[in-house]
Amino acid sequence: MENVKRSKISMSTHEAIWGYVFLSPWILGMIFFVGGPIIASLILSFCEWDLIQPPKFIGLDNFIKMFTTDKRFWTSLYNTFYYTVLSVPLGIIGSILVALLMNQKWKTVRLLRTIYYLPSVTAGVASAIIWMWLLNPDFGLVNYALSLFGIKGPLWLADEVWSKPALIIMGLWGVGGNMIIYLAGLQGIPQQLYEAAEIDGAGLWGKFRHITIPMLTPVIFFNLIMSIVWSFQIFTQVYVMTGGQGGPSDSTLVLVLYIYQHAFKFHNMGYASALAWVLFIIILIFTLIQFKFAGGWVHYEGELKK
Amino acid sequence: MKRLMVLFLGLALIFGLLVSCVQQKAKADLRFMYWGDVSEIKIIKEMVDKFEKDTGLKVSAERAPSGPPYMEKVLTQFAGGSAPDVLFVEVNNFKEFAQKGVLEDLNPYLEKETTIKKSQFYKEIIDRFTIDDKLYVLPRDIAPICVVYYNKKMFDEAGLKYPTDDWTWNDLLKIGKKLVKKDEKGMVTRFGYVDDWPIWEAFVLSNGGKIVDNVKKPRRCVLNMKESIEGVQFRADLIHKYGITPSPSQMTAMGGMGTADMFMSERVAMFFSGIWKVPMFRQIKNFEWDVVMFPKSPKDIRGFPSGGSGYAIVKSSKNKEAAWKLVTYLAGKEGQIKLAQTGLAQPAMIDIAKSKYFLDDKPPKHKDIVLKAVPYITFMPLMPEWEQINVGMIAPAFDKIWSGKEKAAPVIKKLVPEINENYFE
Amino acid sequence: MADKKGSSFWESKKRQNFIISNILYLIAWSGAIIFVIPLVWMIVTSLKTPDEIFTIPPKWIPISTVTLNYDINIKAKQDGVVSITKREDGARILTLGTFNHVIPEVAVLQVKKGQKIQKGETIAIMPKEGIVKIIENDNKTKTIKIVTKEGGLIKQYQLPENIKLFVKENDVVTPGTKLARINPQWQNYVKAWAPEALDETFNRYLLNTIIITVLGITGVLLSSTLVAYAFARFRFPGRDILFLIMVSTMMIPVQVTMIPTFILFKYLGWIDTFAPLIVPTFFGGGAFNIFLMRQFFMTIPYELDDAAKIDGCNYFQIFSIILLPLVKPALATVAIFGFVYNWNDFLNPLIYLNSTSNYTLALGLQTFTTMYGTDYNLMMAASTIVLLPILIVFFFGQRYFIEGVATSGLKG
Repeated sequence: MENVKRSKISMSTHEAIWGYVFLSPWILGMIFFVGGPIIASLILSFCEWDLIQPPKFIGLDNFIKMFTTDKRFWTSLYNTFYYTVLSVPLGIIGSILVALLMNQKWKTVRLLRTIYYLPSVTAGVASAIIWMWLLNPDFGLVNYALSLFGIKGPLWLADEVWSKPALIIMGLWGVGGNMIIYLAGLQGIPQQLYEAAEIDGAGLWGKFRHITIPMLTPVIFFNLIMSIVWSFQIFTQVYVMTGGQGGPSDSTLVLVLYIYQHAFKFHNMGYASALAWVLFIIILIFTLIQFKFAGGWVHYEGELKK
Repeated sequence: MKRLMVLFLGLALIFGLLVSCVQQKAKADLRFMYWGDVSEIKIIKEMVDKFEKDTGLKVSAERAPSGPPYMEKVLTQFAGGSAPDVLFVEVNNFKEFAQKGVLEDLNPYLEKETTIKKSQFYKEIIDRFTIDDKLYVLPRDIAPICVVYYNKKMFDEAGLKYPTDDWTWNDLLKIGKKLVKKDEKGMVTRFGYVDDWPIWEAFVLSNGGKIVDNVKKPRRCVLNMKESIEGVQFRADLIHKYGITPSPSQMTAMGGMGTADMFMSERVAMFFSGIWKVPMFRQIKNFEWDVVMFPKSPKDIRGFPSGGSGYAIVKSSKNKEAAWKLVTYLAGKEGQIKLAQTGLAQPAMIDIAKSKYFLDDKPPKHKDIVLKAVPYITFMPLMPEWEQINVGMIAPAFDKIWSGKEKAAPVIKKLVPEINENYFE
Repeated sequence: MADKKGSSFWESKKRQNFIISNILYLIAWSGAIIFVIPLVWMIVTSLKTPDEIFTIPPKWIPISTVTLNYDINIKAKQDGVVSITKREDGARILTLGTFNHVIPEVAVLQVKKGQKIQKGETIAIMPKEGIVKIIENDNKTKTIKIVTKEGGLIKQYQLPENIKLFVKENDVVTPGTKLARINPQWQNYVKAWAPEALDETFNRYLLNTIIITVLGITGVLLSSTLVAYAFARFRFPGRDILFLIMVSTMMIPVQVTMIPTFILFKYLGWIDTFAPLIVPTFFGGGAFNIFLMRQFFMTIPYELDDAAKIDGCNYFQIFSIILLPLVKPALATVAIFGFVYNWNDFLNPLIYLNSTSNYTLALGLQTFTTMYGTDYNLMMAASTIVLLPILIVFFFGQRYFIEGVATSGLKG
């Protein structure tokens, strides 16, 4: 009797219920901690709020202003795209290369890994000061090193044209952060695959191309999405290095810095929220595109399609 | 089973912590937010301790990092409805709160007060903190940005007499040029003059120029008047035409943090800022230094911007009388004396500024210039959008002038109509 | 495999690998040296005195020597007619042309007023030697005065704390004598750890940070794995949409959700407690971690799950017995990211913590830097202190997430 009753709940429903059970912490978190503020910020984007007096509803005014009369919005959008387009590919390639190097079985590899990793976790203020010193046009090490090759280094952070490249270089110092994710991914590639390939006569490049990369694609995909999301939101380094100004001449005014200025300097939290939601939509579109194309190149050993 | 136990352990931890955290919150009668450096913190602590002893009330003195994080935190608290009772503010950031009506008018309290009288303070700073006849902040200090620190050793070596207060821009140029040192490759190893940050306002004001038509009730930006443009151009010329001031690339980008170091490490002969660099400069061992007032323009006019700070009471406070008492301790005679002794700031109380507590024999010798400078100060425009104008329009445009790519006149002539269009019409 | 053919084949392959491995080793270390330079500068600067920080060319070793340095024969720097004025402190200003020579009290003038002097002539003579007098100051620093027999001051040097003296009281010294060596200022670390102005030392901040970090990592590990498991291994309606929603929660800049979140926590009464920093980690632990774990779960073949089901495992057992052990590197990665995030987080403590006794290390560091403003050496010391635990955890913890974890035993 009981056996019959139990089978009334189909396998797929059973699975679905348990799926939701394991999902529940996140759902609860969304309801209690995350969802509310996000919805609040959406509502705020249609308001005017100086943080001191109550918010005032103004409809689409923020968005109209943003797209028609706000020059600095487009500047910040350009700056953010510039930074992302350059630093994301460089960062991913850099992290993978470093991870491959750090996956070798040398005796000193632990020390090496620590050296590559530490910069990514150095306190923002300290690393900003260090890089401001390094990139100093007159006595910084970077220009000094360039001068050894006969190149006169640019003015870096003080120059409109070179300020963004300076940020990108500084960002590359942190490839160690992503390196550890790739290292974890490399660990997950079964040795047998490499051995089998070797027997088949594959050389270093062959193994890399046909085993390492494909097996790493889930991690690369993750890293690609996260890198784009994070690059679009770059804030702390720029904030510390330019004193929150985004200079010189707004050349390092990235979108989140601009949002911050409106929220806390110009007393315009409503406009800041509107800007944030526009940024959100942009990132979302990029992410959706990537998810759409993921099937074409990402390889999961254990994917569970619906 | 093991896993369940782990889960339970986790939950128990959370609850245990929540309970302990709740217990951590000591009940304070008054909350006071401020920023400050080492010497200021010491003074605050002493005055707060005294207040607590004298009144038996408990004060939660919350120090927040100075600069932008301070406003971030304060605004967040206001937005979240948990504003403090007493708030430390200064001449530029107080208006955000005052004009939104969240600060208490201090006049009634001051009139009843026996230990402090309004007349004890510099009228200029009281006036700044007063809007529409309401006094919102009790001043702690006034900070005329008129102090040119100079390296006496460099003057001696170059055979130059020390500057006196009646020197002019031309003197500044002559002296600056003489003090510039270059190495064999032609790179400048020592500059003549640098300001803490591009303090173009000083040049504009002492040239007889203005920034807005009326500081307290601005209706138009007038930066495009001839005198103002000349002032800005002169400062840019110091960099590019006369070569006595470092260009932005030669200064650290971080809002002036590097320029004071330049003075301390003897890479510049003269350094322009406010009195607040004194404690830092008192650590200098390699040379003697003194101060002189910012030079007059060739038109024989003096003018400088000014800072200043003080304490405000938040309207939503539930303990206003106690808050006022705390304010009198902090900005009262004793607090001002302690402040004067650090050399960090010029007390807002005239008597104390004139007293031996401030005018002591510690360097700089001529620190009395800040007292003489008070009649010539002009504050920054008192409008809520000024931050936005300054950060969003003036600074990016002026960056081009400082970098030498453009001259002041075309940049300003293009900028001012934009400012007026966006903010004043 | 015939031996002869096989051995030569393997030998050249081995040699190839050997060469390549060494080249890579070289590249790895060259890169590492470049990467570590900024950190080295940070540490070196933390041991300097304020004067040593901005020298050109930059100093790489925080040690300097103080040498007695003065001209015995003071020479004229220009042609001119001598005029002499006395300064308040007893020194004389001898003007020649446009140059003012500062002649100390103890020097003997060789010229008279009104005399015509050529450039290079000796105008005054300093004592050939002097006596060392050492003064201990209140703040643990020392001053060395070089004086004449009569007590006139020849030259004076202010020294910082950590020094080694080469001379004793009453030694006779001449120009060129090494007086002292300024050592690395280790006390900067003590000053950074316990700033005189604060009530708390970094001890308190450290404790707070450890509590928050440990609990934070626990929460993240527990919840992000469970949630990721759901996304990776279950089919349920709305799964893909919910996943997308989850990922998109990362795309909203924190600056605009900060205040509504603050208001939420104020309503719950959690301001000035650690709760806002810890509790959310138990509810998913952040999209970043969920996403990461999900990717890693999906690299494991589903056949393992099936096999386990056949063996009678329920979903939780599949999760804990089969899957978790296979993604240990990912778990360790999540742990270390969680560690670093909580350790360095400055924005959240800034907003939610009021009493300085609740401050975390990162927040303490930030307030510290604005307190001491331009004391770069102290700031670098404080930054190094905050960095050190991460360094230790990472260096020694590597074997838990990077090395030698046996993976997917599909065939075995």
